Amino acid sequence: MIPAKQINYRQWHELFKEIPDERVKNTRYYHHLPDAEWSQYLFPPSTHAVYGNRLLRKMKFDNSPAALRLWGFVLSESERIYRARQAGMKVVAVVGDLGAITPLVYSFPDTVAFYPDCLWWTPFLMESRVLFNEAGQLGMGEDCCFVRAALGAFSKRAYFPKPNLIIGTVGATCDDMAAVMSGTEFIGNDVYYLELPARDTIPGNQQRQLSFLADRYREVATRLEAVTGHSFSEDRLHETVGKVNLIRSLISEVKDLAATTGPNPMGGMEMMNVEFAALSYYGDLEECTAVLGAFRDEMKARVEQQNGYPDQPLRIVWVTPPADPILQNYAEDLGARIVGSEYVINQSTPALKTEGDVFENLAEGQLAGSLMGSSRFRVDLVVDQVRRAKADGVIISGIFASTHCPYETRPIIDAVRKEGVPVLAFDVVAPGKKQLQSQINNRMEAFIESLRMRRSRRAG
Amino acid sequence: MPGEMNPRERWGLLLIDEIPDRPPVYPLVTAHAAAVYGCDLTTYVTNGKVMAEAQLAAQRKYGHEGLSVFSEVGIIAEAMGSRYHYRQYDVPILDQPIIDNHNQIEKLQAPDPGSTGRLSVYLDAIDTMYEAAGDILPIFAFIPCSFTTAAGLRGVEEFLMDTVLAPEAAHAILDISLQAAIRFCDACVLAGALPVLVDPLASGSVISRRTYQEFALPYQVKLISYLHRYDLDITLHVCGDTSKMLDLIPQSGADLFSLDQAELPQAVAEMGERVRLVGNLSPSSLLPSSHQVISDCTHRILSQGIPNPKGFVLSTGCEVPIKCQPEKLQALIQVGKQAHYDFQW
Repeated sequence: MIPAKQINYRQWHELFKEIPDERVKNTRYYHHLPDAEWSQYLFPPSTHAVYGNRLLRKMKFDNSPAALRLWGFVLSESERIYRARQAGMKVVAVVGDLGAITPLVYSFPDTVAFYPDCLWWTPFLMESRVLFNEAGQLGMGEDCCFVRAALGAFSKRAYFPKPNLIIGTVGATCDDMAAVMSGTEFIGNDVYYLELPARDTIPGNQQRQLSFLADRYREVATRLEAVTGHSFSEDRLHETVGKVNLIRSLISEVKDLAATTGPNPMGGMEMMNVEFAALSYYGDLEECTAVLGAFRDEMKARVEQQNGYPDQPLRIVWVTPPADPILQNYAEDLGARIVGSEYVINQSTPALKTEGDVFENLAEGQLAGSLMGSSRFRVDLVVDQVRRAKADGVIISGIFASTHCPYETRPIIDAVRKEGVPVLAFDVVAPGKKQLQSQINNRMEAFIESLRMRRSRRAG
Repeated sequence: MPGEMNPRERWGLLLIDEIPDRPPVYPLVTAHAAAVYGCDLTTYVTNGKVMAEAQLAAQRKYGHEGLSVFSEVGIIAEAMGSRYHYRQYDVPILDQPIIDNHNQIEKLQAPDPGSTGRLSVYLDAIDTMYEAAGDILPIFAFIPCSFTTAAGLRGVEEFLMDTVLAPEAAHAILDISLQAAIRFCDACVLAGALPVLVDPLASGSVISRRTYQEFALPYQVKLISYLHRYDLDITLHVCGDTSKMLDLIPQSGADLFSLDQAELPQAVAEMGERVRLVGNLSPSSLLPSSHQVISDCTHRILSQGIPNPKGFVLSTGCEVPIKCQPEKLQALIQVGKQAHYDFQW
């Protein structure tokens, strides 16, 4: 087995030459379509860097072909959604904490979903303010969190095709994303709104909430029937839920492997790519399953053979996804590894029930969302991660101007410290703010150094 | 203005078979950038930082939609040992080819782009441009194909004679030129640029269709195939008259063809279903013509190019002349930016 390590984009460019041609040619998405050269996606980061993803030149990547496939799949999502439309498929945008609804979307034939919220990553990957500036011109400046990039993308019309349907949320959803949806509608897009109730933990009220949300999903199904031209089929939804549960169980397995007590088998960013697959399966449910399956197999083999990255002993739980991917690389360079996470996407994490009312089962998944109720719920999710992963420390990478972060960060810090685990909290800064960025780097360096000393002291 | 695409976005859509708001406007502004920046050509072709600054200055002035990294077609041949004569007011020309006789061929090696000749000038230029504007502007590195480099290693006349009298030797030179081109392309890609393959010596103005098929095309195929393995969209530029070989161009595998002296409607008919076209206002029209002539020609080219099924980029047929009058180029770009597709999002 090849020793696990993290390599840069130059090294991957060279290593890519060793991957057999057949493997490159046959790693494709949308297998149900006739073979087309455009559906290949096994390419190194240097390819994506040439097309403007500048941060890739600074990042480190796992050196396994399974990780390369994962990165290729993630980075080709935008093109894939365009190709879906070119091939006559219907494209549905699910906006605002809606990972729970994608099984319903995919249960319709020739229909794919994507998650515009994830465009928040693009300015960081491109080291660019283009999408933020675009949103700013539409009145959404730095008083909104980085998801405003999605508004910029809707305005630019160059990051995804015009969706056949945009489903957005109101009610117990991210305020910033709700503002993005308003902006999206304002510039001429129809948004189909779906009301999410706040999570109520009073037992008698739970069934009422489930019923309410299930009814909303029935309305969404009717809307999808109109858009796709296909009737809703409970059998197809059952089948799709089975596939989605397989993805969710793969994600869960990979998370467990990341928390192994042996050497670190995988990078934090690879783990994050795996976790975010749960939202919309990067536009191809079947291929996504294959990608995650291959990654799980590779990581499992590594764990069994104690094959991991050297010099990353410090166990970190990462809270809130870092919009800037380089931050996790930085922590890893300093000797940390990511053994757990709470990325505010809990609505797409638990396995869905397969017995009973299909819509209520989806609703139950939605109501497990990280942000749908009191902060206590999310605090408990974090504490659970810290305990399970036996974390040395917690890093909270807050989102500047996000409405939920200021309310949650303090209770999370308090709860984690009560567990005897140190916490570092900071807000990720937008691309180009180099001085603020260096301040974050300094704080991470000091924090990880303190964890290292703490560990040494404990070891006597 | 909200909703306006930038060049990177426009090119991005073009390359995945989507329709942008309008065709990218990308005249081949190469050494003319030195004139805009106010530096001599010797400095421009020997200092990557200067080349980058000049390119960025020209782009700011004109607003065209891509940066071009190019000195002259001998860049690889020089790194392999041929001697070039530098000139203050024009690009370098071949002074002394490295291969006097065929025995020297086996001594040739593909040069290290980081440390040989002026190849690092390109890399420095790309790196600077990429840092400065890589999120908004695509960067194109003009890499000579094997046939052109071989001519620079052997001397043009001698190499053309080799293709007739010593074809094995010609292929040997082409083989090592291909290795050099691959290595240089790799370095340019890693620096952040998309290779544009240039093969001016493989032009119908210089060689026959048969010579092109036997000595130029196979090496274009190999180079493009290598780059396609990395999923890179490759432009092939052949100067001069290519009208007699247009049907062969798609065999190279090129994703875009930048044509010079060939009729655009013929190119659309011959390859429009498979290849995006880039072209082709005559560079000479940027010297003595009136604005009206440039405007009329540009409108004609747009009307011929926009219907190309695989997509179109408004450009010049070859490099913008060093001494081009700025207002002439501005006229071309202005007309180009008024074009639009029937774009319905």
